[in-house]
Amino acid sequence: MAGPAPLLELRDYSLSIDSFDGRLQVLDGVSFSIAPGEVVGIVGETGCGKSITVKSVIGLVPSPPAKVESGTVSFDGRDITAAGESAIRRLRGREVAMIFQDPMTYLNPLFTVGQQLSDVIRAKEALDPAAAPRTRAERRAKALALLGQVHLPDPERQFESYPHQLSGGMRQRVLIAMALAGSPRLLIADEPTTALDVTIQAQILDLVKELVETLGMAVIIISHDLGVVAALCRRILVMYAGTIVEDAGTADLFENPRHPYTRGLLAAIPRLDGSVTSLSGIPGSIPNFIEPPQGCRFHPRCAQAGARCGRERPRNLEVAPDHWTACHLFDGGVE
Amino acid sequence: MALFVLKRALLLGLMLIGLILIMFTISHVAPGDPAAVAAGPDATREMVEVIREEYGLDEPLPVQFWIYLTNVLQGDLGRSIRTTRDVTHDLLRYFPATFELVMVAMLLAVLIGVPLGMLAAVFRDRGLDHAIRLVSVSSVALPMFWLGLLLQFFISLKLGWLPLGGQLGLLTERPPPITHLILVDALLRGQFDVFREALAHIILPAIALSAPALAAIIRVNRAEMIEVLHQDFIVTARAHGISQFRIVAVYALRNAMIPTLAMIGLRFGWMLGGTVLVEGVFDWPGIGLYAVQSAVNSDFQPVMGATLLIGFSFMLANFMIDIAYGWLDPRLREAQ
Repeated sequence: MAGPAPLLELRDYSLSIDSFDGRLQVLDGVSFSIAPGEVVGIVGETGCGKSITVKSVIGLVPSPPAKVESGTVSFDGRDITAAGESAIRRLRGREVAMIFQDPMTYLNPLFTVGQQLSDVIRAKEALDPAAAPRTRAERRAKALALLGQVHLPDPERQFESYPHQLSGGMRQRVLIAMALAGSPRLLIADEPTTALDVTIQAQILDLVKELVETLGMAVIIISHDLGVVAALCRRILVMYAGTIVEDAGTADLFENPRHPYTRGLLAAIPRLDGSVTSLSGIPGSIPNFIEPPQGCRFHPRCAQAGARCGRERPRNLEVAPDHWTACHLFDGGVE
Repeated sequence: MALFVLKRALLLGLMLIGLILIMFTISHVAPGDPAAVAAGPDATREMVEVIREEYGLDEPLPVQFWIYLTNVLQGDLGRSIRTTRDVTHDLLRYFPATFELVMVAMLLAVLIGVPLGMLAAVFRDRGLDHAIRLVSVSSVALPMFWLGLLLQFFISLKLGWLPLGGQLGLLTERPPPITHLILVDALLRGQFDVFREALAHIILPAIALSAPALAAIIRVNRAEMIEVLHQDFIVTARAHGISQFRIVAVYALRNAMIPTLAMIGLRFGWMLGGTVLVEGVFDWPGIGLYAVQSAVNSDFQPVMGATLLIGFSFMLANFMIDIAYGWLDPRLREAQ
């Protein structure tokens, strides 16, 4: 892809995880790149490897049991595939921040919001050689400013509160404030609204949208909900069983889905104007990762699959400007 | 927090009365006539009756209980038939030695057990974890009196590093009492050579006494740390670049300490009971030895007094652990 140098780039990234039953081939040849300031969504069914992809990139998947089988990851032009713990920690602390699915369990129950947020601020400044260490009062002021930035009501009081005294939406705001503490260049949001009530979901999405617009950082939003992703992202990656099957602009993807899996996903969204009978699912379920299907990983569930699909791995092909898909249908046919 | 402590303190008072009631009941259903024992084998019927009256043993049970309760609460635990001294006087003489021993043993168990449990969890299933498991398994597997004998044999007799038994050397004088705890008094009086000597005497019995608690603390803390380190909030801390040391020693440990504290509280009781064996091996002039010698002489008042004191210490230890819970966990503080 042309344009500015990518902020995050994965090339042919494959990851396996040793489990009790055998080695899981979790990711298979994942390639994508994110430009600075770009907002990208990754969608797919639960268990398709969305979270693992980003978590392993920033070293949150313990290794062992995880192992990088092939490929490279680079951030801002630096190869971080084999970076040591301290380098990865510096990356996590300063340049990449992450928010998580369930705000109930991602805050430590025994420390106040203020203690946890101040701790994050201190950790981030310790990782930044240019930053002058702050005093406790300065850290508190910074924490209160961050809580204000995420529109947490009454930040002075919530600073002294324990997580169990906050609602789910408020906790998610606290987690977002933590993520913003180091002024990251890339924010990863892993199912940021899945665990919240629908009304709170909308508020959190508005907040993320506002932060994206005002702070100009790159964002990866992971979700199984195409609606969430469509509302925020200009570009969407569709993942299936550890592979990226389609990569396109949001409008383009919704109007012209190419990959049979993407079409299935879109057909599975209930629409207000359609009757219930028009709702369709994709037959079958996510394959076994220990012995994944040969060739295209989707072919056992694909209505259009042919002999070639079980034999040969599809190449990632640009089928329209900035619209990539990995399917034999667009690369000489399935037979 | 003040309300939390107050409620716990009230509960402590109620439990104390319950403990006294249980002690009283047991002493009255136990076989044997204490008046007859007190009067001695050659006493006449009349002499026994006089003693019965003197101790109030002819009154109805509720009256006897009331007398006993008020006496106990005033610090009057009766008289020892064997030593002919007030039980309170005897307990005051023997209990501080036991208390000192238990505190040092518990300190050892916690200060060694908690970090070892943490390390075992962090290095789970690797060499260090296995080495620590060896320590914890052998600590439970060796009976304390046997461990005590081994320590005496190797450390004292073979190597001559530490004294065999007793609280101080025969020629050393105890520091003038302030708290009745030799280690503390020696420090307060500035007698550092006495302090060193007392410390040398207490190490081996404390190690023997702490072994089972050490094993329990290592195992509970390891299991809890492993569980806590898999919690989501640990991922948050890691994702924000907080150092591994801080994550383990602050974020995870505080969460893991809550169940570990429960184990420590229970172990206080076991330890106070275990002093009977260890004091025997190390000739430690404590309450365990005193209680055993009284029991074999059917000397009831000291046995009851010692049991009451041990029971109360156990309750007090658990009271303090309850307070520590509240301090550690804000949710518990509010729930009360």
